[in-house]
Amino acid sequence: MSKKKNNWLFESSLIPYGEVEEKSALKVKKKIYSSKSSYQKIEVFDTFIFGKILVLDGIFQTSEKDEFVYHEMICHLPMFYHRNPKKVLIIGGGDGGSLEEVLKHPIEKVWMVEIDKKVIEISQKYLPSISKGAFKDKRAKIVIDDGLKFIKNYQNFFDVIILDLSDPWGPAQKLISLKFYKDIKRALRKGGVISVQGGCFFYQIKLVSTIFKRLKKLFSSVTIHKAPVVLYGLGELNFTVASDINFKKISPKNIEKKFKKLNLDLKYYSPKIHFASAVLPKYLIEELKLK
Amino acid sequence: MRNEFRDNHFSFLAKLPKNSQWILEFTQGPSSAHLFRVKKKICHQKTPFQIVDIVKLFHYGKTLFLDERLQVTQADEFLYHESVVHPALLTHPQPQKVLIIGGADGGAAYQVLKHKSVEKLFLVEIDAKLIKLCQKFLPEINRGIFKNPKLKIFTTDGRKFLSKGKEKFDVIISDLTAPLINPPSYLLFTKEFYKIIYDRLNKDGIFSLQADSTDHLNNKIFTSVYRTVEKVFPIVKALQVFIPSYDNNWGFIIASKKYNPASLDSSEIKRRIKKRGLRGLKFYDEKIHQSLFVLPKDLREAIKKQKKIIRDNHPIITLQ
Repeated sequence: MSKKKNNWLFESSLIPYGEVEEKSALKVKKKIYSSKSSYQKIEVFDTFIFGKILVLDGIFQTSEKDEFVYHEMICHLPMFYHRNPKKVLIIGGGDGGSLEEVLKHPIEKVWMVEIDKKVIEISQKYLPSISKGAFKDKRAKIVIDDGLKFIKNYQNFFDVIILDLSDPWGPAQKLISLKFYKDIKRALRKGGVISVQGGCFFYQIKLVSTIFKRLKKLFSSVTIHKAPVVLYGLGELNFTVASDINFKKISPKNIEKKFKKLNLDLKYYSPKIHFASAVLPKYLIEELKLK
Repeated sequence: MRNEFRDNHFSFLAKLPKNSQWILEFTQGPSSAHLFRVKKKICHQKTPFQIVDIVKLFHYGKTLFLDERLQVTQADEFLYHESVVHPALLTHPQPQKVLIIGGADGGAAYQVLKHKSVEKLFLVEIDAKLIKLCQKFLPEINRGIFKNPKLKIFTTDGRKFLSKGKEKFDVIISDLTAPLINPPSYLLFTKEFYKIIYDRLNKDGIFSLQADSTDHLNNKIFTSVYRTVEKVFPIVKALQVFIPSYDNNWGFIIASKKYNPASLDSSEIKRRIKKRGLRGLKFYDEKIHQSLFVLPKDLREAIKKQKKIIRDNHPIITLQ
């Protein structure tokens, strides 16, 4: 899908729930890796501005230079909403960035369930700065499996579940289905929290809205957070967090205190960003019919 | 369709085939870009200062390019214009005289004149022909504002205009292109110019400016402007807003002599919005005000680390 033209890499126009009239392009130094796994085309390019980037089926996934915004937000939002997370599950997240962020917390164990073994191998080999050795942590259990199947074996078990998935098209569509979210909920312990990467506001508003509505059917607290992931070229990204605990009762002071205690070395997330990122502008509240 | 796009200026910057229906716009510097598919060509003209293209894009509607660089789009102009105008105007308890530097598209003027308190608005724009073209082809953005009797237009260089006059303003808004050599907008991004602005503001005056990208890969202009404005004004606060057509978080700086925009609480903002008769806001409101000033750690650190103070003889010029 992605063609090399005068050393410019053009992203595929096929963006689920999106428009075909927009795309991103990056100037590349060189192509580092390219092959097909059983699931997708996997490519790694060295780019001028984002460092090395991972491309799956022509869609930009993550980059050395700006992965921290995405990974800090998808992980620390649910980890700080939760009172004291011990058992964590990541579905997807083959690049290891989420694994690395979760392991910054004093957890007992984190399971990472990725369907495509090859993505893990390639990420570890060519993009090691994203996982920073997290795959070797004793608390990390890597499972090569379909998240849809894996989750069915668990009940009342995880404190935090992070859905670090690529865009829902083809078989991955099932990963935003109500049925799947029901299985996710069943696998959560009391007080559990989930987070979902849920598309870009400006181009994929239907996707944002679909995910929100489905989670709202199952959880009493559902909050949309926003953060800019510029690699995606589609703008501000939606991270939806859901739980049966009452988010409104969680005060900034509360999170500030926990954050200080952990003394995390982060670049984007902070307790202030935690709350500021959940304040949506009027036009989005109206478009999403959140009122 | 194809003929219409041949031999025109839509494949900006020659990265695309000549007959392309796409426009390539740089985003985080010259090595990353966003491509927009063009629906219709509306206007292509040269003025004494720049090349003006107005096209219709599929997702963004009517869009203005100056010298092949995207300036404003019909679909997301409200994000930009509400952000450059309302946080500053509401920080002032009673803004009556306001001046805009640049802002030929009229979008900022439209937002300013929503405030009932404003009696007089000056718009100082160097390019008279650009105003004419925007008036004719972008009515969706300026909404007839050029006919408002409160608005007075001066087609001259902003720096010259402000250096000469004596009249003082409550709020001055800088709605300029990025700092360029030609037209020489870089002279409107220097400490010397900001001093001129300071002198033309009333004792409790406020200066609001668009200050380029705050993205962590591309925030040199923003951080330098911030540091420079800090040398001139006692209170300086930055806000950032994601602008989809720029594919960037965008920085706006509010520099103030007396009032602190970040400490304005939501009930007071709500009261002022009502009193001013502000209507039809799509982005800004009292709920979002505070959150706009929360900057991520990497940006706060980038500001701290920035040592450059922009001066006439040490200017900053945009890449590309």
